[in-house]
Amino acid sequence: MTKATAPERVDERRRQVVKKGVGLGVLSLLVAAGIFPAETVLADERALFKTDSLRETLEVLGVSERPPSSDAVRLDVPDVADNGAKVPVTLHSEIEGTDAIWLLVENNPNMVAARFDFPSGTVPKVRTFVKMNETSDVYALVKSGDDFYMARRHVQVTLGGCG
Amino acid sequence: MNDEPTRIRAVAADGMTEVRLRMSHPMETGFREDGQGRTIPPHYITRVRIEHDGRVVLDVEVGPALAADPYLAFSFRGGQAGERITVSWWDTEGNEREDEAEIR
Repeated sequence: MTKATAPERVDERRRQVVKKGVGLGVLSLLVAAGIFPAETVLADERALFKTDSLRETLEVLGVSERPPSSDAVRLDVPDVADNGAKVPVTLHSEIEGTDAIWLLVENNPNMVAARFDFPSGTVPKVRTFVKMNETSDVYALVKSGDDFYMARRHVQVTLGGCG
Repeated sequence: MNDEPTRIRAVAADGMTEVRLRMSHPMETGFREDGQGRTIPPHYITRVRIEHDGRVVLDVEVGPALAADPYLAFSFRGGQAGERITVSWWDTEGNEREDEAEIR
């Protein structure tokens, strides 16, 4: 397998570069000079995956107000999950023009589990499995143009799946 | 290493294509400890991109919380039997993997 970094995302990446531009530049030079091992750079620098509250997550996304709850945002999760290592989740937005859905687990060490981008032609609905460290609220956050909407569900976890 | 191919199943019906896939990956969060109390270093997929004949149909930024051997299921408009679905992923160790399947 080849060593590679994922293609850049525009929005959150730009925010990070603004914050850390100088530091990263210096680090890259040190890597090039062989002073730091390459994995120093490959470590996860994404600000989106370092938040631990809804407020902080919204801040990283540049959302100033708490988005309204919407019945058009469907979040299908079990009320009780016996195994926190593998909790089934279906995210589904019926909001016109949905661009992206974030899956958030409030009590995980990092709140954001994933961001799903739906190009036009793709149904804004995805099914996956998420790890849950403990009993927690789970959110689906939907972006449509400049607008955000949410749905929240509570999942009771019998056996945690992160630690 | 992650030498297991991504299992991909794509079926076209009624003008839609339904894609289901499972990637082979430990998705270590970096929060777990081994039997001797040492932290198991993080090793997880950070990005998944699914393409239909070269056009992106789903793009996912992934954090450590997706379950091990991540599974995704979704649908897009269009797609016909015999056309290609490509699944690419990247992880925190700089590994990259690309697998293909034909729509049935």
